[in-house]
Amino acid sequence: MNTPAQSVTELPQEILKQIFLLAIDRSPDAVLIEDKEGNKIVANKHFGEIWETSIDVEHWKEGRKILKYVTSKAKNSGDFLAYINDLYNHPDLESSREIEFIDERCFEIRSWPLKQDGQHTLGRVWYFHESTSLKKVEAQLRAEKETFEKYFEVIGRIVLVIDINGKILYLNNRGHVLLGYRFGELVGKNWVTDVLSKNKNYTMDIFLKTVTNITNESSYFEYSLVTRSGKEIYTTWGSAPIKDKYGVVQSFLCTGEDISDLRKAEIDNFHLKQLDKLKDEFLNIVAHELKTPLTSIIALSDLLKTQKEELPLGISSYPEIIFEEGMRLKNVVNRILSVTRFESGKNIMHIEPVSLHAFFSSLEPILKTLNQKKKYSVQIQNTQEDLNLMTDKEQISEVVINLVDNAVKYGADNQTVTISIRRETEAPHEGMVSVEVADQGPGIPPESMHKLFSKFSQLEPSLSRSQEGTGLGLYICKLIIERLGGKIEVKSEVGKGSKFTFYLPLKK
Amino acid sequence: MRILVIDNDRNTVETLKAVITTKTGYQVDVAYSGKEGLDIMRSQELYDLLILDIMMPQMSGIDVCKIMITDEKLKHTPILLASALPVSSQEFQASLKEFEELKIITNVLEKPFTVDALIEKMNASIQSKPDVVSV
Repeated sequence: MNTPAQSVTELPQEILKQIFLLAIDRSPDAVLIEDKEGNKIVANKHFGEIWETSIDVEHWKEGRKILKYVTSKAKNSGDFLAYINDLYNHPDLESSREIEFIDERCFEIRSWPLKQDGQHTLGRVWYFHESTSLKKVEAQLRAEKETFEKYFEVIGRIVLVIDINGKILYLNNRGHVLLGYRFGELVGKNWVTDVLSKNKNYTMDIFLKTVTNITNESSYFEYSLVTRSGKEIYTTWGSAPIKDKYGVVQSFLCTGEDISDLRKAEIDNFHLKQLDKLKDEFLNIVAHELKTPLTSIIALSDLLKTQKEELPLGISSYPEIIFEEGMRLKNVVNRILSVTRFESGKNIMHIEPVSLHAFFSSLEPILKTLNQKKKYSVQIQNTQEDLNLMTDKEQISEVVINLVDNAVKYGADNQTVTISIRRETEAPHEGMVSVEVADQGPGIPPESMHKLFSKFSQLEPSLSRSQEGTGLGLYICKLIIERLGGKIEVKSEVGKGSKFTFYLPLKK
Repeated sequence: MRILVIDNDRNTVETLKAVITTKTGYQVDVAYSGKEGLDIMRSQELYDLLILDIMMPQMSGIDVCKIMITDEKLKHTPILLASALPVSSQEFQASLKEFEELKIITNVLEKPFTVDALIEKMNASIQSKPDVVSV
């Protein structure tokens, strides 16, 4: 519009004027041309219609009257007036802006200076392009978008729109909050590389693959997300493709639900069932452990009771068998009681200063005669200087006896069980004393290590387990050591042996 | 009558031997593991009764039964199962179920037992020779 075509300028003045007037009159926009003083030179019919006023030149001849009239109809008339005046004061300025009128109509105003020979300013051209319907559509869309966003929040699910490359076009507030972001923060980021990759187990974009593979139907799948802070959340997803008017998939609408609580309940339930199974196993073991010694005690005493006239065969060995089995029964009962007391916090500790030199000297003979059925030796490697602890001597003996007894019980004949006492000088056990019981036994398979210290855990199925016992020994050791402020751990290699080590704080 | 006792618990074995010999005068041989027991049975003349413990290391009493029913000779030996596992326990019942139709296990004795209970079950077992179905 600024540069009229060369050929047109070469036409005779009269024709040019006609073309000009015709063009202005047919313009869909309101057009007003003013002289330097602001008097109307030309206004098209449309201009008159819009402002419901006469376009008669004479009517508006007084300077700047017409636009001042228009200004009075604007919503923010003061502003509009200042804008117009500014343009009158700067006749060379070209400008455009939007304006809304009190009757809700919107216009885009454009204005150019009118010049002779491209220099001398003659006046100003004004265009008023009505944009009311566009504004309305925009406002409607905005309102719809807000409504949708409200829906998206109310349903309590993650709502996500991604394009075919995974770029996040929309993610609702719930999605942002669940993942640990502020609303809007993730929009424009990539769902796969910026969000899903937070999951360390993430190897390929299964999410995007699953979603984008569905071209018509909607899909449903589970996915584990990791939040900004590293927390894992389990989610289920539904997705559907969004197509453009040509039927080409442009993006995907996905909704996800946080089912972590449900998953947690499932896991809890699983653990409870396992515990229940362990409990059954334990009951079987305990029944076996309690009833086996009773077998000899009851049957032999029954035999003695009924054979009064004639002495039963092998009678001289009965007292020893009955005594042994009685002691065995006592030990099983004690062990079960011990666990029960520990668990209910009723076990009282007798804390006193304990010299480790004296402690192990008095324990050594007991350790060497623990098991009459196996040949083994015990070697104690104590520290040069004597170390002192504030601890419960009896309880510590129980732990050491238990560990050595296990080592002998499960190991081969003629093995050496080595007990090494050390003062720890480095983290993480600095300032503690460590007692290590190392055997040359069969070792513990890695898959069984985790349940070693748990309640009722004997590693073998109860029908054919290789050793007697309640499966409570190591559990009791753990309870004791932790109660005394220490820690117990195990290192083992199948075929080479195991090292059980407990740490206790040194006396300060 | 010749009886074999298989039990890993030495004192239980001593007890069974004392009760049976005192009360019946039967000959009692003993083994302390499933493997030892099977070896003895294979090398000896057929026993009139096997008293078999269930919970044993390495090879359980049930494992011993499984081997016996596939052995032409041994499948004719009546078995009295002696177990400290409660007979009502699920695990025990599940193991027994496998042998229900095989009739090799003629009786079950729950530990601890009285002298009379043991003798009664023993005699009942000896009389009911297993009706063996080949496997």
